[in-house]
Amino acid sequence: MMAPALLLFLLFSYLPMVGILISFKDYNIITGFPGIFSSKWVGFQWFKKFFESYYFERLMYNTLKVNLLKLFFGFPAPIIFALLLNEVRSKPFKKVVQTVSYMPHFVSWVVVMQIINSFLSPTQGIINKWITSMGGKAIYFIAEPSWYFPLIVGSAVWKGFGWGSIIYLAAISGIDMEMYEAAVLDGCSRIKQVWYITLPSIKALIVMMLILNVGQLINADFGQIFIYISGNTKLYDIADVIDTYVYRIGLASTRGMSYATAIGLFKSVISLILLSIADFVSKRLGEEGIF
Amino acid sequence: MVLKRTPKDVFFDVLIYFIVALLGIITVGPFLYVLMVSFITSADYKIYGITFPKHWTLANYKYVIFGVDVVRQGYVVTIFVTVVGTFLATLTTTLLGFCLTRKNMPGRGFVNRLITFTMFFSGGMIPPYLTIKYLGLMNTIWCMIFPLSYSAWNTMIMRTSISGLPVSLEESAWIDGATDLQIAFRIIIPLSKPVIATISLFYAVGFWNDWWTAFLYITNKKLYPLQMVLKDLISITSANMATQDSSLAAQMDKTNAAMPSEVMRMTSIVVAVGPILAVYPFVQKYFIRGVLVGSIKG
Repeated sequence: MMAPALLLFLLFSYLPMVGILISFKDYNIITGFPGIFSSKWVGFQWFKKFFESYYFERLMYNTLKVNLLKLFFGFPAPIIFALLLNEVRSKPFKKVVQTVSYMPHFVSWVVVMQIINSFLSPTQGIINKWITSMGGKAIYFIAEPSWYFPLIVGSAVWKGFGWGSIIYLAAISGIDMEMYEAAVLDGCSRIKQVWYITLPSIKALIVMMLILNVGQLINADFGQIFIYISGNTKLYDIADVIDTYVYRIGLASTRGMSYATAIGLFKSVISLILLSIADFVSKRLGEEGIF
Repeated sequence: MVLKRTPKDVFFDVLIYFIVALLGIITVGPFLYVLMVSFITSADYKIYGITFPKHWTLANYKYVIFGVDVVRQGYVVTIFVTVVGTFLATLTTTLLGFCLTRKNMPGRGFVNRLITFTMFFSGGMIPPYLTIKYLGLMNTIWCMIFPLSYSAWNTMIMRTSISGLPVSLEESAWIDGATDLQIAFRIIIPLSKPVIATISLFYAVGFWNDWWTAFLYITNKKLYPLQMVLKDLISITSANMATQDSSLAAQMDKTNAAMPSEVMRMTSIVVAVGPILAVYPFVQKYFIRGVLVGSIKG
């Protein structure tokens, strides 16, 4: 009965793991399927190549930087939004804004990027039209390196804060009202209530979510970044992350498959390590771990 | 005892309302803008550019949906993939979740670990590509369906939900001689309708918005799903924004002067996301419940 589902898991999650073999071999796609097993072993050659490569530091730096920025701005955003929404007295208003805040989550990055472009296009975007009407020069936002991080991080926060707040709102709604009532009787201001009651009550959840996010630190959102920087080599220096590089080396060209797979394996291992650390820290703090 | 609201309270309220309203506008604003532009007539666009529509028209929609072959084709592909995929995914996930609650199932712990492990480790980008290739699924419609038809997350949601049902129900059926299959279909599944709805919605959205599998595995343009068509159509890479020329949109612009490209882009977006955005407010509670159940166990 569960065979079909398990088959899917096995075929599409586990079978590919066999392909990891080629990261230790010199695989050429011409040799086809048997080539995975018959190609020459090269041991850790590709890994060495990557660590010594000109790109290694840049890719690691870019990947961690963009994810840390997203974490720094994107992690508090849903929490703050949930806290704000919780203070809204009018239920209908709260419901409407909540519903609307999920909108960006339901569209793909293809769409989001196009919307961004519509607003920021140097020729047609309303932002630039406004700038030129005030006498300024049109800014080519999407192509400029200096605008890259604000746009990447900003759009990621925009897309995620509403959906991300769901879980915090649920947790907040579970807080015992008596604590608030007691605080009000003691003359506690609204802001103090948030600081001394609401936040501590969801502390466990916040820690849990933070740890989960840290575990993902090496997995940049490939879709978003890829669409953004595609073809614009000026941005590669600051924007190229491990995944986009792996794509270019492994799939967009023909000879780099083994190399790309090795880099991918490296990334997966780091991710596993990060998650284990996160799990350990979480358990040490008395919360539940992930494993 | 009712406390009087102090001016400070009122100020606080107003501030909160203002900020929250602002956030609401920031999220919905861009979509309203897109919607608005899709109604501009080409005549007005030629004279005034992008403005609040002076005249409203549905001609853009007629053109994009019926006049542009690739969009129509994209719709067909996406609808097929979404319907078939969601059905397959929901069915298999439900059954798997059910089986994982059977205490008498051998290797239950092993299968559980097998499933959750996939959330932490994968083959990367290249091995799945090779798998699809050597399974002969490259450039077929199935490579857009199978890889997305399973999810450890959704399986856990299913499992958690079913194990929360009262055991007495199955016990009485079991005493009456029902097989596992009968218990599954006659008792458990009807009772799990909300959760099933939830995961099928998650899957459906995933299928609808997917461009990644098509991007990697499909070169036959006839098999492009809607999102892929959109990606091609508007060619939003920052590099060719300079010319805004290399996209299909510009091509169509040349062949059909009646359809300006920016307006068409906006119309295409509405066409691509309209269905989801129109539906999701009504099924919110399923999504929310799914997130909560999944996160607790996740």
